Amino acid sequence: MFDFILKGILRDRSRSLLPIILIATGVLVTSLYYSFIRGYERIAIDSSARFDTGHVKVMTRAYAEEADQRPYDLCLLGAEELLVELQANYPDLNWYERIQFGGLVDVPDEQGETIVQGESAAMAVDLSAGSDELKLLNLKAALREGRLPQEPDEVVLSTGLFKKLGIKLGSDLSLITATMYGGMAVGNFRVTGVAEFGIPVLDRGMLLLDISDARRLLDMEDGVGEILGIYKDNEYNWDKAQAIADAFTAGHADPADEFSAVMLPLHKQGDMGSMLVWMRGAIFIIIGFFVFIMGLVLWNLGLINGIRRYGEMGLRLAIGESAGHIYGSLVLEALLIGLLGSIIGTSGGVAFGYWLQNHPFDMSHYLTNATVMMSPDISADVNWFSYVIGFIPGFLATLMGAGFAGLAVFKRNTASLFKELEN
Amino acid sequence: MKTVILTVLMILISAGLWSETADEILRRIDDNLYSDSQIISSRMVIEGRRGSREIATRTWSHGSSDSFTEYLSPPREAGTKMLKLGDKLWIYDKNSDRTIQMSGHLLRQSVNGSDLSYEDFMEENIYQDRYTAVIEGEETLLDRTCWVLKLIAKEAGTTYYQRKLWVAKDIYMPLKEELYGESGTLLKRVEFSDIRKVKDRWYPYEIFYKDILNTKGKGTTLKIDSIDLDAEIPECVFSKASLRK
Repeated sequence: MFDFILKGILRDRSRSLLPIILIATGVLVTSLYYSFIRGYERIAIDSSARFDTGHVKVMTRAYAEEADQRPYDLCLLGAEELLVELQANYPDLNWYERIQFGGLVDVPDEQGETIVQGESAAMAVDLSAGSDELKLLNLKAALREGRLPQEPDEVVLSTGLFKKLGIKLGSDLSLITATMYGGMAVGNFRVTGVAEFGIPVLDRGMLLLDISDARRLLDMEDGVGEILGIYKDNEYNWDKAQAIADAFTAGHADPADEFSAVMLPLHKQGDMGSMLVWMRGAIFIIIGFFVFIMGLVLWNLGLINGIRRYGEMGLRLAIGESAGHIYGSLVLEALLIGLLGSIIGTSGGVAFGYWLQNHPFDMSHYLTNATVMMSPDISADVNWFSYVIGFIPGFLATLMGAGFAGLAVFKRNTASLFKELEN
Repeated sequence: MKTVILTVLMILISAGLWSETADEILRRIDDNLYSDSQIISSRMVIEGRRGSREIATRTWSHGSSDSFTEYLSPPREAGTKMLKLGDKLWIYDKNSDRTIQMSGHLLRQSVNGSDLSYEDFMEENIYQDRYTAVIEGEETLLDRTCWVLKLIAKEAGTTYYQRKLWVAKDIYMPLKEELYGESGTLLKRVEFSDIRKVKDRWYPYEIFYKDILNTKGKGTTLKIDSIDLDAEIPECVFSKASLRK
């Protein structure tokens, strides 16, 4: 029976070619779309965690309420003690101190008169030799010219800011900002390097400096804007991150003190949560859409097939084959078509997904004015689910389509079969 | 008949008082507050979210557009100097030994985390040069009868396009001021108190500023410790060279 049906499928291409192409296409698109969204999600989480949110972030409650404005005047004090506590209590994570603040870069001439000014977003991290930040931010690879700061009062500029200011390596500049208490703060720095992170929002106007220089400039002795925690295996687990954030906040937050520490997981910061929910929702919406459309088309194909094979069905019924047996053979036939189409589609989708995984495409052209902390190199992320996410719906849609269409067999009137065949 | 005449006279006298024009009131305010030169020692008390800070300064002013301010304390701020010449503003930072000309968006920044911006420092002092006024009515404030004046800037682009002033009728001294943007949004509220007579003028020894848009801040109080009106100030004070001295 199985061999008979398989031969029928392979030899009578008018019976199988169109459904197989249709199923393969649907399965390919579903699998590839899933891998692409997963890749996009992974890059979004990775970029955000490294540069902005961490997998979890510790800050004051007041800072958290206005976190998008980087209100370093609402910073955590007693950072050293808190960092030791975090390292001891949460050994699965690496912890990184950050201060992010805005400032005006002023380049003076030899007489101290301003030549050029430009706005900058300063990021202060631990740049000391052996710091984990060097690896986390991939600083050595990001460096386009010069070297990283080694001495106090040295900075690295992003390519965009360096170009805008029109200065050279070794130039001196002043960073004008405000202390955490609001007083005017002016610091003199020497430019030692130029870096490009591949993240438009950073590359436009970032100034990177050592956190000890920032503390001195901002009058933030033992203060820190935010402490980022990143899982050592670099895998973001929504529930685990939420659990440790809740536990930490319960132990530290004081409703009466807006400067008490709170911990927020990545998905509770900015728009990250809604973006991740949207991405995950989008996967299932698109799969549902494909199953529905494929089922509808395959049902329609089954009906057309039924008309085309009207005579064949009539003859089979006339010579004594039961309607149930014919229906079973039609379903088995669809099952084989679905299997073939899904195998071809999954193979194509996964192969294309792997190619995209190794050949990211550059979306920086579309992110020129973006404010999100995200790499523009978008790639796919193929995992075991990429193999089944298209396969199962493709298979089911074929069965559903044939199952509904095949019901017509039971409506044939046996008494009029020979009369029909005579015509 | 006498009663009728007296009543009419009283009405005419009252009308005469009422008829003091808004422009005349502005002129009287300017005459009271503005002096050719002055030296002021003051403390700015900033009520921030992390507590209160006090910054002591001494300011030398000449005319309505030139001033020189030196920060005296706290230690981190001491030695910082600010020079305003017309529509230009420079700040000398002793820690970095840099003189920075404030321009563009820097002017909108808060001065030392207070409710005042550098733009506020840049404002010319004389009302009548910059605003036209109308009397909106009368109200009682701090037990004084006040005119309520509405001021509209003569030129577009003025930092505060509209102002509302409560002016004490007996001393021609503003007791309260509301500053509005061009859209009509209330931006700042200023309250003048501890008004004392200095020579032949009235002067507020305490001025409270509240930046309405900064909802978390509690306001800034400028407390005048001493004021020397019409003081002799050498011209060289108002020069960039004095910033580094």
